[in-house]
Amino acid sequence: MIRSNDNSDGRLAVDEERGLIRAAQLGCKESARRLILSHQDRLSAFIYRMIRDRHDTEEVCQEAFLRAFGALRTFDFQHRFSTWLFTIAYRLCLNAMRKSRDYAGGIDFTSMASTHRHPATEADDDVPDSVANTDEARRLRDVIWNSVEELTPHQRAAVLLFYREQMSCQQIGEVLDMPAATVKSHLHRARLKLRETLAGRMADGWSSVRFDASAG
Amino acid sequence: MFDQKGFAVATTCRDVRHLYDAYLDGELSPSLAAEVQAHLLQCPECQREVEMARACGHLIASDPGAPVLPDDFASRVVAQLDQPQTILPMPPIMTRRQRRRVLLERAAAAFVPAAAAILLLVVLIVPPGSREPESPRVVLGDSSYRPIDALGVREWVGPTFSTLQSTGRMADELQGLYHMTVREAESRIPIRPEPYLTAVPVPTLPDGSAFLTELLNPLIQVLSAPPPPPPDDEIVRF
Ligand SMILES: [Zn+2]
Repeated sequence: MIRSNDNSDGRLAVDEERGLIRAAQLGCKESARRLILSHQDRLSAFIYRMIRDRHDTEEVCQEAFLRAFGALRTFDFQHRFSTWLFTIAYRLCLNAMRKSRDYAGGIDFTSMASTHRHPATEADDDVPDSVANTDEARRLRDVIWNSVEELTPHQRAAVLLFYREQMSCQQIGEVLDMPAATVKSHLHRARLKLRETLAGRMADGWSSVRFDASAG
Repeated sequence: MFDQKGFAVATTCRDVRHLYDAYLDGELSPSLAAEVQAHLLQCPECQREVEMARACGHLIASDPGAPVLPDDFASRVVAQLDQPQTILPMPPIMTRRQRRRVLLERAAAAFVPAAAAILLLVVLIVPPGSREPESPRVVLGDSSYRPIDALGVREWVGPTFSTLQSTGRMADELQGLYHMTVREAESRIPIRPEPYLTAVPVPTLPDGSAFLTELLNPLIQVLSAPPPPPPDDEIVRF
């Protein structure tokens, strides 16, 4: 498995989560607050990766919680709270993206996306390996996230929910409102596309930077 | 891979490339996994690709890289829950089946009054005493252009016919209204978003990304080292 399965990010156990939802349904604010606290970072990261706007991320995140709690009475206990929350957030993200696309007048920024990082310089030889590696790691991270960004919203959401939320195709299908089989094919195509994009960028960018530097 | 007789034949990159995700997810059968592994041992290029996919998955799973919410975020949201006017309704989130059901219900809601009105008119048009089995059809179909009115049909058909026409208009309007609500409903339910083309450069994170180095180090090793030809004795051939 390459998906992280640590429990250190405040994820709630199923029983605890249900208890909090029941209490929140009855108006317990502390329970609502705990539900928010245990989901807010994951949710805001997802929203940010979807809409790529720092300011709007907080706004969308807040709206997702307000809508979730506004309709909490209708919560279906067969689902996890996160599935419900991410479903709402995904819809809001699509709307936000539509708005910002209208605003941007359909300008394609993709070509500008990967040019802001300075390539490693010839000074690499004089610095300890770890520092060089940190630089390289950062560059690699940028390359990876830029590739994620170039996926379609469906693919991107599927990839994020799969890796970050460790959701099954069934769960992702609930969030994206599509059959699990469709999610599976979205995910497969997305991962293939990621590999191809990365392979291309590594081939023409990474190796030359790294090898030129160590040769010179 | 195996040929038709079950003999192992040479595995090419193309044979195994589509299996890498399942391989990394641990979803391959032991025999297929062994085959993929065997290919990776003799193919540095695929090894790179798998390493890249692995690092990519790790990074996506664990890189925080998102703006940090303010400390009082949760408290602020909870405070807003107190004010009923700030509680927003659910965005329209419906399954396909639910969506179809809602549309059908709306269609039924528009259809029933229209049908009832037409039925009522048909009953009104034909006075109880003079009703022949086929008379409603005659009245509706032929009366408007019939020049001779020997039976005095026109006298009572005239006004009802215009009522009938206005009922037709009403039905059209209802129909239009129904289509409008369907369109509106669909416009509120994002069904097929168009491809999202705009992308913004990834903002750089503050330093201290030691974890990042650790995370991506295996890949960096692979990428930095010129791909060595695999030693002969390690090659597993099929
Ligand atoms: Zn290969």
